[in-house]
Order: sequence, then structure tokens, then C-alpha cells
Amino acid sequence: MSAGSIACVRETMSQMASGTLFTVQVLRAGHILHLTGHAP
Amino acid sequence: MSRMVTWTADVVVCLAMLAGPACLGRAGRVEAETIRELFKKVAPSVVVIRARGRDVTESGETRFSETGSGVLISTDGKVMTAAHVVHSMDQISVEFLGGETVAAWVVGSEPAADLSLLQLERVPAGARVAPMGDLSRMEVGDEVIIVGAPYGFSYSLSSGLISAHWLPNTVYKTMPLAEFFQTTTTINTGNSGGPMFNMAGEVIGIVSHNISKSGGSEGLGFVVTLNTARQLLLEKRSIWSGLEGLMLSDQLADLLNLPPRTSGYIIKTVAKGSMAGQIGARGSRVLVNIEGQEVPISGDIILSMASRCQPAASRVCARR
Repeated sequence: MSAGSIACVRETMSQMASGTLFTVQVLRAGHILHLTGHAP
Repeated sequence: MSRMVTWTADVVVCLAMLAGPACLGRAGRVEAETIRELFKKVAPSVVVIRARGRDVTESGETRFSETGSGVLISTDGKVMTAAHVVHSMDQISVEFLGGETVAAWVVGSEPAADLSLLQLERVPAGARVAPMGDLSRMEVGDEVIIVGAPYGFSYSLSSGLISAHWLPNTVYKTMPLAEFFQTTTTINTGNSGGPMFNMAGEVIGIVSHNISKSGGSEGLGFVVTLNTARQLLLEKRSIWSGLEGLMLSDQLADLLNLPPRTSGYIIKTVAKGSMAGQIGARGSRVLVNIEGQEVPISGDIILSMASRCQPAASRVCARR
């Protein structure tokens, strides 16, 4: 994820309507997890 | 602890400066009286923000507090302030003129412009909503005032001029979205997030930081314009991620034994109640010094983000 991609994430977040389902892929202790939630 | 306004000194501006020897003439007295009335008019819209958060150091997690300023901009209790005062904080309280204090939480935040929007639990009686100014009438050379809490001294007034105007992405790489007014008005730690007013008592900007070689205020203050604040906090609705951390560079990926070309964002802290906190993202509990850079090592690393409504954006965000 480059600085450009951070801007992309920011844009994604700013464009999400309230309640939109989103997923964040994270690396935790060597494992890839998918954390999901709804935009506030 | 203020992490952005760090190059300041123990300089507290007092009203006496406004009525110094240079202001003893008739015009000077009139000006001082005008500013006195202006201060009385705007002060009930200014707030002192006290926030508590967690930081991570090489010895583990620590707690710290931050003091900043803000301004009430709506009757339903919205307060504009600086992101570096509240963005990664767990607990926020807002104090009004007279000392009444109410709880608040972040409802919008854009660190790339150093702006956040708070929601108050309630609006105290006597609080005044600050009117918003028309920036098209403001020019370099115009007089302005700032009211805030430098070093925690609540409702301190300073005055000066707009000394320059900077368009977005021209001054700071870390705040590319912010349009700035540069000002000669004294800004110190604790002024962050406070309002800059024009001489009609209208908000025209939100204090961000200053630049100083001496550590004291040297007349190089930077204030995010109200145009930027309106656009990002009220029109675009910047979501509060609550994340603090750093980019995962190729060098760091290598040092952390991650696969080649792994890219991401290393989470340092996650604010309670934020979007990242609600989905269970984890911050680090310890930092290590890797070749001179403090790196959080036990928290999550964000690899990508996808929204169900924006598959194209999600594809772009997952690759570099």
C-alpha cells in the first residue's frame, strides 16, 4: 500500500455511505485476517 | 502532549501588548476597544479541548493527555478542531467559557488536513455558535484574531495579520489536503484546533501549527482555511478511522521478515470507539528502534481495504 493507495483508502472511506459494508485485510502475527464493519 | 505544535516557547500573548506604546494614539485606543468587543463577542463560541489517549514507546504502552482548542459551529453541538488534538484519542471533554464541561466524541476526521469534527453530548446554555466567514473577502494583510488555550491558558487572545495564503499540497507533504493561511498571530501549544476570526467575528480558519527554529513563536503560524474545513468535514464527511501508524516501506518489510514487496500501513494505536476500533483492528503494545526509526511491531498491518459499493477502488487500494 503506497502513499497513493493510502489516498485511495481515504477516498474509499470518504465515499462510503453510512451503513456501507467494508472489509479491511490485515496481517496479524503472520496470518491474514479480514475485518468487516459498516461505515458509521 | 502536542505532537505537531512542538516548536514553540513559553510566550503568552496578553492584551497589554495590544495597548503598548505604539497604540497610545487615538486610533490605537479605538483599535484596542474594537478588539476588546470582538473578543467578548466570539469567546462564547470557543472551547478548550482536553483529551486522553494512549501512546506506544519502547518501554510499552503509556497514557498521555492533550490540550487544544476548538469552535462551536452548529446548534446541535458540532465542534471543529485540529486532528492532531483528538484523532487518536480515547476520551475527549470540551470546556466552555465559564468552565462548564461536556463529553464529546469524534464524528469526522481528516489528518491529511489536520481537521476533526466533534459531536458534543449537549450544548451548554450560553454557548454561542460561531458564524462562518466569507473567505473570498479575505486577503493577505487583513487583520485577524485567534482565541484559544496556549499552554492551557484558556481564552487567551492574540492578534495579527494574514501573512500568506497557501493552496493545498504546496506547503506540507503530510497535510496535502489543507489550504492554509499563514499568520503573524502568535500560536503556541494549546492553540491547536482553535478558531481564527476576521474582524467581523466570523470564523475563517482552524489553527494547525507553527514553524519555529527557536522553539518560541516566531510569527509563522499556519491555519487551515474554513474552505478546507467546510469541504472535508461538512460536505465530504471524512470518516474517523482512529488509526495512527506509519507506512510499511520496502526496507521495513525486509527488516520485519515479511514477503518481498509486501505493502501496507503499520498500526501504532487505535482510538476507542473509532471505525478501526469497532472492527477489531489492533494497535501495537511496543515499539522497537530499527535503524533509527521507531517501529510498532506487535500491531496489525493493513494490507488493503474494500467497500462493497466500490469494487474498482478496492482493487486499486490492494496494490501499489
